[in-house]
Amino acid sequence: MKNEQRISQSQWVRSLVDTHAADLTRYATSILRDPDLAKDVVQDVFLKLWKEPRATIEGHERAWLFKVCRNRSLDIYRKGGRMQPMNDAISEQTPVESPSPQVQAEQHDSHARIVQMMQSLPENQQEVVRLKFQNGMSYKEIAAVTELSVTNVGFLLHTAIQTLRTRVAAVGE
Amino acid sequence: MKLLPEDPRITAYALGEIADEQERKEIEAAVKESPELQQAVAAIQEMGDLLGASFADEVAPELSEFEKAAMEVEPRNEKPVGRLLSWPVLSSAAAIALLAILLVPQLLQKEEDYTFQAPERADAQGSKEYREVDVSIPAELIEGTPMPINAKNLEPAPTAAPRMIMEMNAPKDEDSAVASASTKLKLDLQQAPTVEASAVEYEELADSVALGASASSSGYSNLVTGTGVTLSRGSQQATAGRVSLAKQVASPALVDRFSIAEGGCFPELQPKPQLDPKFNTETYDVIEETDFRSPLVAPLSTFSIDVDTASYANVRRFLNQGQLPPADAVRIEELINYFNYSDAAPSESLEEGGDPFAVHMAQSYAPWNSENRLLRIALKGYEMPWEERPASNLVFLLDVSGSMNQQNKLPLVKEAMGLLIRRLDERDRVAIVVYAGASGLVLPSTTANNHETIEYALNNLKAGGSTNAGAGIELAYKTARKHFIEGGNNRVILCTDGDFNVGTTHRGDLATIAEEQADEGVSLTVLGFGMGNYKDGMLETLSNKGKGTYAYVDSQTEARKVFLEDLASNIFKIAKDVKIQVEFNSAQVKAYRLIGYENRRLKAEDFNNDAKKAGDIGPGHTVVALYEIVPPSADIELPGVDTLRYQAAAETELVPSEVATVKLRYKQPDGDVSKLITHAVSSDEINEMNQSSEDLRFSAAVAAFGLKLSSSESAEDYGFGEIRELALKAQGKDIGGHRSEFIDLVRKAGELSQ
Repeated sequence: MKNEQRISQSQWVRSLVDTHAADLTRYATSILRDPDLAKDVVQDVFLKLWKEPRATIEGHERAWLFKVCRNRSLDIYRKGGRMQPMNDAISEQTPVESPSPQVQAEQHDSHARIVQMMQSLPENQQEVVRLKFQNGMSYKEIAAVTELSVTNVGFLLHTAIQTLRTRVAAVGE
Repeated sequence: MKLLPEDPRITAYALGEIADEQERKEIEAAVKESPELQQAVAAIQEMGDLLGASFADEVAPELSEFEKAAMEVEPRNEKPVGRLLSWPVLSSAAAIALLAILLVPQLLQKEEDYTFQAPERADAQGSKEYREVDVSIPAELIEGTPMPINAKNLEPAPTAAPRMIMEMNAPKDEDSAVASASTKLKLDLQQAPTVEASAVEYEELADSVALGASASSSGYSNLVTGTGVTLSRGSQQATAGRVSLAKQVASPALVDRFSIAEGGCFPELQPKPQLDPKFNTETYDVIEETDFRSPLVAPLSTFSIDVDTASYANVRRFLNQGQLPPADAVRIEELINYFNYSDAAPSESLEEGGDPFAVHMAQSYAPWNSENRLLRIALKGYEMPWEERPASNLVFLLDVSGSMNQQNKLPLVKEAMGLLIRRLDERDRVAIVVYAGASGLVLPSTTANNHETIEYALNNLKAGGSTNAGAGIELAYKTARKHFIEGGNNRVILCTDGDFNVGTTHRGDLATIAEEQADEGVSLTVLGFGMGNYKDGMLETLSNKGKGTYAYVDSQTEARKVFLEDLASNIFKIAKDVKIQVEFNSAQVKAYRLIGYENRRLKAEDFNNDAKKAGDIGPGHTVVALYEIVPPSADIELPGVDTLRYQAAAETELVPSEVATVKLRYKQPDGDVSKLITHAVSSDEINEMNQSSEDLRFSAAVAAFGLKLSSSESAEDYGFGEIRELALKAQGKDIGGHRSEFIDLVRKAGELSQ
């Protein structure tokens, strides 16, 4: 961090965009289900970064960015935006047949099944699962992003994993 | 410590989330003793891995270099930035209107008469008016010491001149010697007295008045470089002026085909009294669908690749307006190539001797005629990392005529340029040439690390005046050549709504210029904007001859695609003169046809002729060509030729198992000698449509859509509903949502065609 004190604000923002923009866009897309809208949100997030005193963000940039991104996405989501129901989009998009080799196809299927199962979890559980396993965040970071307590995050993740394990086992039988 | 597998702490432990060391040791000890807990930990970790892997399958939205650049922009205080900036026109527009009315009172003479009678060229010498206009160029805009310009009192060009004359007496070093507090320009505004129009809006008036009005009222002044500009509106300009007025007459709009008519002269206008109110002044070149040909008559099919996408955006605009597009506006290859396909990029790098693009081939059956085969040839350019781009010498040629003054035109261009410039550095050069009533260098070629200078120039661009693309193009090329970077990316980027109504508007002339310059290494990228008076054919020809891409921007969504997603593909090239030649085997092919590429056909002998130019391919570009192949068993009538009497049968290899051989030639961006790639297409490598890749199915759906829109008989029995169904199942991951948009367009077209 001491090094970064010397780089200019614009270099700092640029390095954060390079590191986090894609993850943020993916995260916002998971809430808004519209990549273009998500990109707008991420752009807003970085605009906000310019206005925030750098010292208050440095050291936990990722959590700050995700938190602002989450709030902004949820704002837009609640306003209605241009979302389409996820289920429709998925059922129309899922190809009937898959030309890829069988093993790959099976693996892909099992992944797709997990994602589908995950989508039946309550939203707050889905969210922590995503932050944990897609973005590799610690409980503490997730707590900062979602404004929950660390214990709460731990509990949500735990419940989500338990549920998914039960369901996978049920399918396997 | 006694723990149950259901304890959240087990989950936290399994995921390595117990921060407290004491606690972790205790849990570790408990797990060690209990097989049940061990099993739970393993299962949690397994689930974690599975979730991680499943999320990894989810495609991360790709951010282009320019999208990232947009995210880095520092906010300004006055307005929220990042979206399109609003364009301060309204105040100056009123002034333009006022001046326009003062300058051309004749325009408003007969208010309810739609008749346009173009005078013979010889009698077109109407009254002259001279206006002296103060043109001030902010000295700080220019690099170097400000120097006053020796402003001569300029003489108007002889009115007998058939064309607009534009003289740029530029000093030897235009970069340093262009600055002045005030320059006097004398304008010769000559309007033919017979102009009649109704319901002319002020903006259009301003258009026809050109520099006079705009220079004084909207600070549209930093256009002028060199010591002087002589602007003359001779007979042709007068006519052209009326043409642009004619277009604006509210509803019974007139055809202005003549504005780019062959020969550059303007025929008399004889508008029919009753015209379809939907008719506008857009012009398209005629596209003639290619018929099936027998390999016995023509065994070789040769064409140049085309990476343009403009036609799709234009077709979409029509459909969104509730109209089917005119058949000639549909260039099927541009529809197909609008989409991203997941064809793999080349696996071998250039250093390892690999080609800059990979070639993929696949066969299926034509959805609209299941007897016929469909051969898909796809080229996928490698993705060039941004840091490896060649040094660029870019000259932006911006149309700042009044019609560009809309939210989705010039402001978009400015914003996109701002983003591009953020990604360029001291290796790169940027210049800006604008054209309207006159043309000028707003920003002399400047190294791209001078962000402030460039941004200042950008922020001071104003729209107004009529359009003289000819002089602008010449100036742009001159600037590009002057700062030519050997082995670099030398390019003029033309942004226009295509209303070239004054000056060298003869398409042939402009195209010749573009072609000559492309030969010397300066390419031309064309970005078309707007609607209503859009000259599609002209822009397409220009970009073809200029060896660049042609994209059409009709909306902010499209601007995002063109400027943010595809800009790198469109302004760099990784291979040039890419030609494809397919030789068909008459034992397997009764007849064939290439779908689309009608104006990209080459002669068979051009394929091996390296002097013959063809299209370029940019980083990440996918180029797809589809052939429809009639099998030998089919029963179709073909125009044939009689058996030849004197020709000895060529030495042939009988290869019954092959359908065709696909040959490609390309050159390195700076090379002169082409390289040949050859692939044979085997007849048994064919899949049913529903077994084919999503990309093949989707491109087949787009081709069918294009065939239907261009009223091809071949797809007559294939419905829009079936096309939609085919595309829907081939939607894939659909990054950017372009495919789902297409599916919706098919639905609209289906409804409109009923």
